[in-house]
Amino acid sequence: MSKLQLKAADLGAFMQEHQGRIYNAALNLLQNQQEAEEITQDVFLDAYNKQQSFKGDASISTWLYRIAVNKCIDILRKKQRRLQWQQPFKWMAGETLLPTAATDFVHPGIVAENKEKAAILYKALLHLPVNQRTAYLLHDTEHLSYKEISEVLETSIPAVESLLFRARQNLRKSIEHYYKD
Amino acid sequence: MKKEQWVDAVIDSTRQLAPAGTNPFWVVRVQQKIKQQQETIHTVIAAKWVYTAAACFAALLILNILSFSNTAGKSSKNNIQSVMQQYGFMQTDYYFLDPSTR
Repeated sequence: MSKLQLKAADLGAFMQEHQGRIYNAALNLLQNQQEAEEITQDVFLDAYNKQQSFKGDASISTWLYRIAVNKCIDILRKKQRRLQWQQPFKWMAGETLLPTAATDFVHPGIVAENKEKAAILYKALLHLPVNQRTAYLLHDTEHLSYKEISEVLETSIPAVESLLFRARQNLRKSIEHYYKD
Repeated sequence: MKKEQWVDAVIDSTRQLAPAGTNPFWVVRVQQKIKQQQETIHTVIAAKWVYTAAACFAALLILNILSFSNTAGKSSKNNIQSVMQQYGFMQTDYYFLDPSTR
């Protein structure tokens, strides 16, 4: 059990080590660059303020992922609630509906030849429930193990397996809608 | 079959994802936020003294009210009597209008 002893002066090195992964996870989840930047900064501010809550039972990166994922889920749920309120008005105005406000997002790290397909994947991801989307992205883009995902999502390994199975199933169904002969 | 292959290709499109670049100024921003928090803590300590001063004033006010309520009964009675005397209300003659009742 090692405790985190983070001082303001050490924060630079600490952030340099972890901010890339946290930012990318937030970017994939939120599909919004500005929000992901804000979340990344908030995560490290929270980590500094609540370093006593780190018990050392998981790795520091898992703990940071947990903070980031919780913050992202909060934002996504707020967006979903806002959209639920807006939906009747949008329907009356004849606008198309999307689960969140983000559209045509492509992660800047995707190779040029895959951009079109990745855009479809990101659109399809918006149709997944938040917990399935989180589990899928942590596994497939962040390459976390089932154990690490279970620690981030504070659930069991079988629950993670089930989430991933359902996520892949739902994702395939969503992607099929975009297929053109 | 073609459709399934296409779906697989879409799913695999993020497999070789290069990490997006981060901004080195985020560290500075977070450190600035921490500094602001620490300044806010100093303000809270100053606020404690403000509350202490407010509590002292409240205690003084309560003591004043208590001392006033102890003397108010007597003085108000005296004041009323003196005012009545001044205006001649203590002379009950004015109120006996019927001469036979004098």
